[in-house]
Amino acid sequence: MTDDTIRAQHDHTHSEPPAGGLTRRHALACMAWAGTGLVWTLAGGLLSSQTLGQAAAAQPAAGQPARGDFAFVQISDTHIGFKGEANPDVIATLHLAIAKINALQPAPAFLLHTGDLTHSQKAGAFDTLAEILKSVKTSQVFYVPGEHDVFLDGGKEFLNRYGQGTTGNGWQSFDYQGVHFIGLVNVLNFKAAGLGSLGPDQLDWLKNDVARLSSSTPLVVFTHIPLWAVYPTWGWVTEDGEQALGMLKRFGSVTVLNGHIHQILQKVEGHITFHTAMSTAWPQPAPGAAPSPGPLKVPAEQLHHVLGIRDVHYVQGQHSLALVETPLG
Amino acid sequence: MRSRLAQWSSQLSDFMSRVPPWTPLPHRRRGRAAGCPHAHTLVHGGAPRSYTTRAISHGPWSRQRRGRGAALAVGVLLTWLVSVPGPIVAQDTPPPPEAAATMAAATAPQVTLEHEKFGPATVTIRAGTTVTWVNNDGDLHTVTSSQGLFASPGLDPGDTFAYRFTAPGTYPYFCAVHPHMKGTILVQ
Repeated sequence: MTDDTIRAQHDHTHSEPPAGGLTRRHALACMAWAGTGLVWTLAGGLLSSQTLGQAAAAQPAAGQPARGDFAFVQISDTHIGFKGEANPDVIATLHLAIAKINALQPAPAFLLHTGDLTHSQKAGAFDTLAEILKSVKTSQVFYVPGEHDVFLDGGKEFLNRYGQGTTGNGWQSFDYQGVHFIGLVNVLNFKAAGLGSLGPDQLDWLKNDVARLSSSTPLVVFTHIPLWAVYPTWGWVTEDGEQALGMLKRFGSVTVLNGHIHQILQKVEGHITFHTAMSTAWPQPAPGAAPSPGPLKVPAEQLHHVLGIRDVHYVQGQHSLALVETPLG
Repeated sequence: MRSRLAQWSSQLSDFMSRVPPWTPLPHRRRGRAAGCPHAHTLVHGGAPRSYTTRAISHGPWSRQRRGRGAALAVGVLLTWLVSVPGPIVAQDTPPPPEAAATMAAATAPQVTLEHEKFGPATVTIRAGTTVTWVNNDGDLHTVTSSQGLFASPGLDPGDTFAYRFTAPGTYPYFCAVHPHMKGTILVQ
């Protein structure tokens, strides 16, 4: 069995049995993946993950995707302006991330930035990020804010820069090659308990936004703080996230992409899959593994292994999206 | 074929039922298809500790918890100290000029930001006293009045912020980046 067939099977798991039946190698491959912490399920709407090695082996010889297929990239938590032991040079690691993005084949159709563009909204931080991201070989970047982007001014600067074409406080949706993308803002309504919150107005907007869609439309939802209760003790939850997810349950394929927690965690719930992303700036401790969340200093030689980008592939006719996690080193 | 798939599904389901619903992923490197849980030595707060990425071990944190207990005791002591009128608490950071004139008769209380907490969370002072906040945490924080009375800029580690309270009253505040961080200044 080749890596190509492994990939094909993973992409088809919700609808088709493996082409040659289950082989020992394939079962071992999946169990090995489970051993790394990836969650596998045979429910519909599955998306799968691969190592870079698998992804490279699975590339068509010509390097060109079939018509209707595309890839996009998620970056998160660039924290421009951060100064601390956890990463003495967040601009350098962002440049490394961009080098990884620009080396991807096929090139990403666009980028999603899932928030915390800046660390402390210091003067010039948004400009610095905008300048650096000009070197990304892609057509467009979509942004949702993190709490670090809005805490000083309630989101004024962020919305002045990135709010064009959005509704409310930056809510947005767009369609690309049959996939419906929804960007939600859950950092402008911080509640006393420190939970992320969407608010009733945004929930109403979301309800209307998806009302016209067929249940077979693949959805990708991107927002900063996880919509699911990752770790409420540390505020890693969106208070009214479940209301939003309830509106999405009828869809056969829903992929939720978050930042905020600076590490990869995944969860499958019915047809909805949740993926938190690495930062390009600094890692955070695993839930509960430290007295509090925050920048985590790792040995210098390990830093690039815990930062990274995410490459997401959509193949037309398949509801599953394939995610490739790419560490910086 | 389908029966084999069902068997595979059953095996996977059985396995996954024993995996925590949220499982941290080890960070993968190019070319490594999979791996067993890796133990990383991480440094937080200056002290190297180990944990595995699969199962969060609470064992190595016993020292930390004892540390927190000690910190709590110090916090209680500090609360008691600053609750007693008089120039008791020493201050390294000079007060802003506008506060200097009244310092002779005022205390110089300090609130420390650490582990996403204000410590002590409640400070009682006399009117005219300047409170100084020191960010000893690794993350960005603010000191933001719940009543809109004052708001620090983003405080990086090591940064300080000071505010002089002139009128008696209760002044709640929080961190705008981490709103679960709350504190109160009681001005008598």
